Amino acid sequence: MDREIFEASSLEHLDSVYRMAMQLARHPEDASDLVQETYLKALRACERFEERGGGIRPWLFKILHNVFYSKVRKDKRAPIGVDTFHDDASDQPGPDEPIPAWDLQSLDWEHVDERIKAAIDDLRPEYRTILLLWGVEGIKYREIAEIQNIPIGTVMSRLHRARSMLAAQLSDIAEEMGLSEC
Amino acid sequence: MGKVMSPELIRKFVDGELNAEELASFEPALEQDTDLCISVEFERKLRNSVMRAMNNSKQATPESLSTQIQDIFQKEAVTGLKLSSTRPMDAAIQDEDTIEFLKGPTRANFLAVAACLVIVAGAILFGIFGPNLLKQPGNTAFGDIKEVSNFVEDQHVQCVMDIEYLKKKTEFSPSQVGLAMQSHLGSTVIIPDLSNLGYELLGGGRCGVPPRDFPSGHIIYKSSADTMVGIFIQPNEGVFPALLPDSNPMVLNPEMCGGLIAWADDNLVYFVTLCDGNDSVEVVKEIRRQTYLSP
Repeated sequence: MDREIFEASSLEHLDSVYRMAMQLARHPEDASDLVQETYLKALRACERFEERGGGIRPWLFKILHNVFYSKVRKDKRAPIGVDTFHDDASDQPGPDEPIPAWDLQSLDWEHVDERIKAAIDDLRPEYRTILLLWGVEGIKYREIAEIQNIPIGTVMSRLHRARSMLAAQLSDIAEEMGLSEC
Repeated sequence: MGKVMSPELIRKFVDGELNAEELASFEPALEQDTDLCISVEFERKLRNSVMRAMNNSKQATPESLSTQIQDIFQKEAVTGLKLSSTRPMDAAIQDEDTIEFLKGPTRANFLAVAACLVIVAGAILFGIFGPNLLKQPGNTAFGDIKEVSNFVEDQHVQCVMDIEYLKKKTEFSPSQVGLAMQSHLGSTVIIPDLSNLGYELLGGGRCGVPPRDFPSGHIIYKSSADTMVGIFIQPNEGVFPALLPDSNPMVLNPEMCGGLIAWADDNLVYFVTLCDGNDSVEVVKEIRRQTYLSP
């Protein structure tokens, strides 16, 4: 891709890239650093980039993902104890349950948004980023797999688990609202 | 009611990810099954809710960030120009002196001898310190862990989502798997009993945990809530020595959902995968407790 075209088109996606960086880094300054490093790396490699159907945005996400996790690996190379790891995960909801068949007309989805937001914030980074790529950016499974450098089966599994966790949250809300299954 | 559609298929349909064959099966079912329609609608609403929630929670992009990135573009453009610019005349003159210096026979011989000494010194130093350097966990070790964790996570997911694949991976029944693993791996393999935690042993089989130079096995359990536990076992050939120093269970790759939990004894390395659940800690502890062979 021509450098001038890259400079113009890449900045159109700055909001999306920053949003992803915030999901990963969770702090505005760290996210800004991450975005700057991403754009620098992308600029230096732009002449080797061949645009495909998805455009430049998935490529920027991929670089961002690699930059972030390279830094994480440097900072946290040492393995951690199982108890420490599981302390972080102890509030995760249980396993898959069938998708509920509720009377959806009675469910106030606007009210649900705040609870969903809180539930998403509690998820691990790998779940949050995959929800962002899937739900907000509308990226397909195969591209998500390329961005995150994981098998497509893993994408499907993580997405499936993340949605199951959120659905479990909604079960709580439905119970609170006194909704019954159809 | 016709065929029951799994949550995975429903979500793939909502995401537009069904292949032609799956779609041909799904759409007729959708026309006839009211519960399926409700579930599809629920998933669509959930997806929209996630989109709204993540859009509304976004931090506004700092105004300065765009300027900073444009500065980066400009600096890179200038750097690129400097590297490709024509060299000034005085630099060219200095180059001629340098060339004359190097052409001289005495000095050329001196440089050749110096280069040989450097190479020999380097070889000696590598011979002394090299083997220790190679053992240090570095990018290669982490690359191995990532390969292992991708493999085991993929295997675990396929077993969870595809019953045919699960059958293929449990070639040995619960009554056969202990002896089969012992024969395959060349060491005593203790098959943990997780029934007190609600997990039934389904069996096990051979698999190809990286590095594939060594045999490896996979033992699978399933709970009444359809959560699964997978134990992958490989001979301890010292591939991960620096990461498994004292045989206590460690999370080698926290990035992986559920974490890649591993430990080693003198003979075997164990990798455990679990579906995310509130009993993860107890399951790992119980497996560890039963498999640890006292000296």
